[in-house]
Amino acid sequence: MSKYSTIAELQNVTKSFGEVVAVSDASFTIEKGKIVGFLGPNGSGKTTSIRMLLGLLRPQSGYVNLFGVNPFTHNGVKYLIGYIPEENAFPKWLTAQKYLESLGRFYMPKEESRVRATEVLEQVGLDHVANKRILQFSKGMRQRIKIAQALLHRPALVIGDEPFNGLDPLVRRDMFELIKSYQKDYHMTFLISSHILFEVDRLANNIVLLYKGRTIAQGTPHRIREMIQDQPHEIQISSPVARQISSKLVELTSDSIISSVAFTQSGVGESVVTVDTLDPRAFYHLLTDVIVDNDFRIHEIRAVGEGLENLFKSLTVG
Amino acid sequence: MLELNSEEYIDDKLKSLDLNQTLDDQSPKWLMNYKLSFMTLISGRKWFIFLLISMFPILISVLSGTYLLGSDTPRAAFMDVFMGIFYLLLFGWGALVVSLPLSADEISDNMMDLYIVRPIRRDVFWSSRWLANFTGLFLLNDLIATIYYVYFHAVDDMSTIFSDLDVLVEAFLFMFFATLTYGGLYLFVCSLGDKGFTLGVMLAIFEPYFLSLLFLDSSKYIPRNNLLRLADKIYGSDFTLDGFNNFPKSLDMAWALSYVGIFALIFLIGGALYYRRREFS
Repeated sequence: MSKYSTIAELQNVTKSFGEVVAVSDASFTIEKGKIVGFLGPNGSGKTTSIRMLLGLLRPQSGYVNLFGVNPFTHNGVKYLIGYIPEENAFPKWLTAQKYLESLGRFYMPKEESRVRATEVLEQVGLDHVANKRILQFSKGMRQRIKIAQALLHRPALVIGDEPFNGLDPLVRRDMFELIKSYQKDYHMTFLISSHILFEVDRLANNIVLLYKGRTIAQGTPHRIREMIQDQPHEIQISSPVARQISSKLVELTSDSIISSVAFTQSGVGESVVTVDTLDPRAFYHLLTDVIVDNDFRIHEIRAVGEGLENLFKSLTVG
Repeated sequence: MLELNSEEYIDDKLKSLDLNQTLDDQSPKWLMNYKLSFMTLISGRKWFIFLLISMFPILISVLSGTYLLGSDTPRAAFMDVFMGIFYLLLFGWGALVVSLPLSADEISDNMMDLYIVRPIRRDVFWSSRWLANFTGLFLLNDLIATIYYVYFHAVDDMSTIFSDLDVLVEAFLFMFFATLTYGGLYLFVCSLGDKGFTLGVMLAIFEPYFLSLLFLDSSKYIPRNNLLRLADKIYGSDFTLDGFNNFPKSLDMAWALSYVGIFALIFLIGGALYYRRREFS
């Protein structure tokens, strides 16, 4: 087993700010060469955990280990990490090219820094605005320049705090491909935080779930999806015959699939059936049968939320 | 050449560095951070606001029509305004306001993260900022002195503008000591977390109007006393301590120089130690 097979480790870490406990007894590991999704709702402690990994904060209890050393006291570890901050933190007077060249000087000689800055700007699709000041950039372009500065020195570990915020779907897909290529070509590891599951589950090899400062699960995206599917879901069905649908559902089903059915009439003649189900997969099978057998017209079937919040609640309560 | 991100590569980056290696490793980063910090100060534009405020005595001079503000010569008018108004009333505020883009502003904007996560030692980071702040403040104060100097000569007697140059050079020298003493102090105080700016403002209010003046006649432990002693020596007959009753005559030049030097060092070294331990939350 390689000496650095586990790149980062948080073990029973707690961090408070005054009376607010941001991270409470959290533990997780990051394996070398993986893309790890760091998932949790806003205010769950993701940024605080990231700042402890970066050596910007010290835990009050427990320990943080990065490449076998304490990132707060060991300066050398900073060569091995790249950071994509959530905030737009850059000197706005600099052009994109000069910005990356300047930051590159913290890692490499001048000429190499210039070449890498040009290269990475092309990779994130900003080569056409290389000589424009960052002040003039759109939100999406600023996100990309933040990603670029973290990839500049090809560090062993890149830590991204909500790096895909404000990116349109096409650019997001390109950034996914870029991150995957860096992972493969330079043996890099990524920790990508988000509060939206779909943002990370297509990219990550592994997902860490954080809720109210605690790590509540760690597993593959497939496993996390399964766990979410098993959570109670609220499903809304819009139809001109909603009352009949709700009657059929109540008639046909058992308590193990549906826990409640509610019928509401909107002001524009649209009716909605709201169903709380404990077994979404079984419910969708049942609903299909009801619709086909009775030839019901349906306008829309909509799952309210993605079940992630329910998963967080059930894992923390259970 | 080690393979990127291999075990040997990681070991190489993590190994402890001896003094020579540290110097080789950190020197270019010190220079780069100095450059970025200086540019941050310039682009912050707060220096320009302070420059405009410092032009207030010139505005009074123009509006009142008493161009030399009661003095007999441009040289005396320059000394009265520069030492009696600018240094005594405005200088401390300048040291506070000009340093803000490097201290409270960068902390609240999370700009500090951008640098602290790089492989630059925190003490190296602080010292380069300290010097950038000192350089910026020194040049700005010299610019203000030059504007006063040119103005008072332009409105009265341009023929003495070159023969009086010695007093301008002495003002630069005096500003060197004054900036050295107060630049690091405000940079440090305004970096003290969320309340840094408030603390800085309180200090700017109390230091010149309360601490220095209240204790002026008895204490030798106030930087401004020592700076005034230096001013007395630097300017010669152009500036005297006569206006300050019971000024401690026992203070000598060597003591005053040592005092302001030590005061500056306290905030240079203290800031470096503080930054090594501080959290960026």
